[in-house]
Amino acid sequence: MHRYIIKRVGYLVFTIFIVSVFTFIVVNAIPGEPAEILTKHLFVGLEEAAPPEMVTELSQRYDLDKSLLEQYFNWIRGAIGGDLGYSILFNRPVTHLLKNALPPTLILAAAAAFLSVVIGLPLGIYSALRKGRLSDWIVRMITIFSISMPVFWIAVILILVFSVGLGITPVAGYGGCEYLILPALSLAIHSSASLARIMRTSLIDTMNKPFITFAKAKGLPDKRIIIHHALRNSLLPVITMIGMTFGSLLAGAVVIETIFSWPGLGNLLMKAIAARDVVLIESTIVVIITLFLLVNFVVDLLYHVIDPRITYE
Amino acid sequence: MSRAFVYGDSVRQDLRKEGVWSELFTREPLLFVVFCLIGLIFLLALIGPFLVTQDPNATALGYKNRGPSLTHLFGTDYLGRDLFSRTIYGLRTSLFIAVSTILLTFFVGTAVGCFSAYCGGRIDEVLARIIDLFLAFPAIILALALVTLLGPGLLNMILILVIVQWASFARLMRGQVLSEKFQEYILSSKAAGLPGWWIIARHLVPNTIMPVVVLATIDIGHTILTISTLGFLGLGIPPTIPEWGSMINAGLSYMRIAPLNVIVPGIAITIVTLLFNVAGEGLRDLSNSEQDQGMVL
Repeated sequence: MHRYIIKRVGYLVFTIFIVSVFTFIVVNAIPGEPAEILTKHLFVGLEEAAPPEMVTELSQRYDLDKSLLEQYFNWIRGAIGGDLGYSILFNRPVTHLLKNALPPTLILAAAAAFLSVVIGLPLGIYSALRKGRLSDWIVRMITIFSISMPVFWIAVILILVFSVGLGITPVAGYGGCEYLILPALSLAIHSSASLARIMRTSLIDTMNKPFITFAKAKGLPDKRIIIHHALRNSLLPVITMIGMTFGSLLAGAVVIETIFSWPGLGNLLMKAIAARDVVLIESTIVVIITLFLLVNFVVDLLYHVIDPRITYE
Repeated sequence: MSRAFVYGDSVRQDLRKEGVWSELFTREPLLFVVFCLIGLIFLLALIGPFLVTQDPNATALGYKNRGPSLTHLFGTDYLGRDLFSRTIYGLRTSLFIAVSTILLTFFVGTAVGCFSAYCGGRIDEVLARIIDLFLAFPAIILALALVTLLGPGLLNMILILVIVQWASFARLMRGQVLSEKFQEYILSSKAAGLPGWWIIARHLVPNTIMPVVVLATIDIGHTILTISTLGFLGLGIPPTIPEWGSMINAGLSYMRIAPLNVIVPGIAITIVTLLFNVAGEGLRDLSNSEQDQGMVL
């Protein structure tokens, strides 16, 4: 078990390293001089030509004139010491920006994950227990419909109904619960549907296993069979899915945060991409992917807790 | 033991004569209807230009954000362009990108997965690691990074989506082949001295491809969602090509006065994605139940 964890951590670090190299290459290979675009974005406006002396000054001050290899090693060396460089766009250290953007994203993802579990699991269990009946069919139709809608469109429709139409919730912004509800709900509608579908399939699978038949033959009440025998054994794929959902919520946050002006990582990333703030783009992408990998890593370790038969060699 | 080995090719040919379609119709009428609807969508995309009376890019600034009328079935957008014809042309864009992406992804993913698993050893180890690496990226983040790198364009979009998705196909195919390659019929064909490509093409692929086909069908829906998400973020598709995601984005500022501009493209995305999702899941159920009965589709 310990050896497995060490091996997995090693692999995790390696993956993050490769991801950082890849991101660095991709971001720096984007055509156009970052210094020039940044100058336009910061000082003279996008339509104007950037004055060459301003461009050279900017690139000298922020090491944009150094070789790519040098830039990469500076960035990584700083990252290990907890300093990811300096965002030219916001005129602040990247670490500081990320520290501010992380809590909103985590709050949003956690709220959405919570809603998905609370809506999705009961729906899936209900559907599985009523397999083949009309209510099962209705739940299946609703869920497959929900996973077919784009998340950003769900958000737009929710805004149209609840903010524009009924005026109950604010259109966008960051603050109390009333700001959280629409973004979290738009993410949760999609992911709760996929959770419900996995839960249903998995529970039906388990209910067909011989040990359930045995429990029934023993005369155990249905409630006890479902709660103590079937549910626990059908949770494994569901937990995997919850982990993946949390990851996709982090990624889905990019769109949702942009729509609701939610000051999280996704919003930061989109602003950084628009202004070509290279260091900020790289760092934000690496942080988002690291979060995604960490969540899946934890889920992997949870397998053993849920199903002690699973051992890691 | 494998089904192909038990039944041989003659049974499969018999089934083909009977017709998979009539079989499908009698056993799964709902799925049959869904397939017909998908066919209808492709037809609509093909004959779309003859159906619409308005040029999707013709602006009429005097007719901005109008409601539905006889000349403009769904009304007009913020530049006075006809929403109906833009929606039809959006279908062409989405279907073209999604279908070409999935065809390419299918071939690349299947080939890599099959090759990796069949070769085994060092090659398999390295390829499996590469597949894992690609899966470490959340799809939309990778697509975002690549789309900023390559810039907008239909072909770039297809390339980006293939890069984002091939790994999940490769992983599935690799797993399938790994679980199948030590079956007796494969070992016996090896012992009989059949060449590797023959074994792969005639035995391995036909017996392992069904889950990949299911994934491909469902993934057409996913791809359409991803295309629209990138379009909504203003990336990927050049502004001159009507695309549903970017249409919704453009309608956002005017949704109080012209809500149809955000509603109609969204419904279009949902319907098309829904059809492919239902078709994929139906295919999966069908192939699962047939495995139980030992039948070959």
